[in-house]
Amino acid sequence: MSAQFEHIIDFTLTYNLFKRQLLNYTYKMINDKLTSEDIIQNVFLKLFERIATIRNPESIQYWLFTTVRNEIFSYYRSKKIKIDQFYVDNSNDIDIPSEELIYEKTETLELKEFIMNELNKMPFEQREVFLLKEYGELSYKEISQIMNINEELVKSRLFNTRQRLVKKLSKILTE
Amino acid sequence: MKTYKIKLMIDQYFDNELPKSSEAFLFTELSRNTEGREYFKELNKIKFAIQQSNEEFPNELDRRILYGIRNSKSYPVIFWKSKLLPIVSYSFAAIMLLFSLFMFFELRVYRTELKESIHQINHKQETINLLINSLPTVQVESELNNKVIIKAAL
Repeated sequence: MSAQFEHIIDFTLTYNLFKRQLLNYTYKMINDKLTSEDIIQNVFLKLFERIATIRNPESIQYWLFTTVRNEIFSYYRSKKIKIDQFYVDNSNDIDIPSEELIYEKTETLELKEFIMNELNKMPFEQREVFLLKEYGELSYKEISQIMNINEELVKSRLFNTRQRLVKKLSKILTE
Repeated sequence: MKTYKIKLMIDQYFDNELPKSSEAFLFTELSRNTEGREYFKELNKIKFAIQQSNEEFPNELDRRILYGIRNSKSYPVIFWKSKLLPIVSYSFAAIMLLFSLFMFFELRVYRTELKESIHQINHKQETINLLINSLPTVQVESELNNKVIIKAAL
């Protein structure tokens, strides 16, 4: 089997394994479909050029997510978007909008849109951990490695994000 | 058990990070804890909604990426990068093999020379021995010409 053929097989397997997770994570991070697709395309082309140099297959996932993150940050920088633009408030206290607004929201928005809207209002770090978990389908350990943070911090950020979502959701549903 | 801990366990359960041995314990606790049960239900809804919002990978993007790869000119670089270490290793091994063969033949030559030298030394030793043995025998005689004086002990 030629090296070129092996190279294509390695790439195809990796590509099929991670493409959906990466696209969904990127899309949810920047909320722009076209830019997300461009980022994913660039990352996979880079991977194709470098896959032979990544000796450990387990580190490919780490490489992919780290590269996508870097691309996302570059996008933010190019658009001069501050990372904490999404930040609304850092406390766990929840602002509940007026009754009419809630009613309107539940009428017009589906649950998934509601979740995305709420996520966009959360601090960037909290949102990113949540998206890496839910859309990147990574473990606590993998997230901690990619974000270079403690595993306990990953758990606590996830917990806080979910607490906020659950509280808001239950409030809306009971109204 | 505190509700906070139950909620943490629920999180881990949904993240597939809860050990199997703790699952039974979690469900036992949930049967006694209303708040925990509510949290479980809400989180389940959220998880379901997130699954629903997971989008399929567009075929058009698949095509773009795969065509992009076909046009990539990175093969030679990748080939040399990926094969550099094996090439160096094999070359080193071949050089070492040739060096070993050279040393082996050199050693054989030295061994033959050494054998010849030992043989020559032995031959010379035998010749010396023969020469020594061929010399006439030497007779050693003593001369007892001294007078013997005998004195009486008075």
